[in-house]
Amino acid sequence: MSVTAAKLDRIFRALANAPRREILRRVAAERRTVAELAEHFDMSLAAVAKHVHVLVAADLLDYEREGRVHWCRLKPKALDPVLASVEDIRTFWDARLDQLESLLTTEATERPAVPRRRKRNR
Amino acid sequence: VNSTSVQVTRLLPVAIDRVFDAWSRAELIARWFVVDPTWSCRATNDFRVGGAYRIEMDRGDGTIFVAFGEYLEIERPHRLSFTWSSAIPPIRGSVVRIDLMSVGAATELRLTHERLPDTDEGRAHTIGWEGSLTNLERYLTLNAPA
Repeated sequence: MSVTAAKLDRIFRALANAPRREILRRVAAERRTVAELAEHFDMSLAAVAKHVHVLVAADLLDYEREGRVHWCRLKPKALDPVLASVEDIRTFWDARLDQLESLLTTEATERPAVPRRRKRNR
Repeated sequence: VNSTSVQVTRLLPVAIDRVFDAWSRAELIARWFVVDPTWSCRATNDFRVGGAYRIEMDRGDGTIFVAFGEYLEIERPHRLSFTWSSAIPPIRGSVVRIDLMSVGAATELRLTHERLPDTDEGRAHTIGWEGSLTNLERYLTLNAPA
């Protein structure tokens, strides 16, 4: 799984706001209308719509229109991109250990830590 | 090893003390933690049990990767373990263990990274921005108002 830094930035920015987290919480189990959300928050429809827009742009929220009603629902697996997969971690360490090996090997040729075994004639 | 952990094994052609040094001395850590030579890396550590470390990798494109944690076990030259947290990807309190074993003049390194966020237990250790991402998806699903 590879996610761009820009996408992660959008997700984190969207989450770094208490009302937007509360919106996500409220739409997690069932879809809700923008009007219902506005009622809960004691915010104007326009203000809620703004927050909803940020969440949609971050790919966290699904937004559907049915006639004049606007429904919001948490997108399934919306938060997966920010969680590291085991494969990501393996790739991370593999790359680091490659570098470690090359550092140790380079230094070994410059300044051998283990003396070479020499054949000696007695 | 189950799906919640990662294990990587390497045979390094140098003596065990030098491998241990590469993990314990900050100036050496900074040298091998960068994968691309255009990145810059800073590492600081207080190398004792309970001491903290911090590694900052600047990729030069605005992305700064930060990993931090504290040392749990230091048994020179065979064993080292430390907690591992990072902001991106959000991981908190995972544990990295390094086991070293001499094999002739070489050293076998086994790295085990445990309690990763692919499981519920791992997710419980996952953080996000302002701490709000902790187990957020699960929280959202379980605590949705009726």
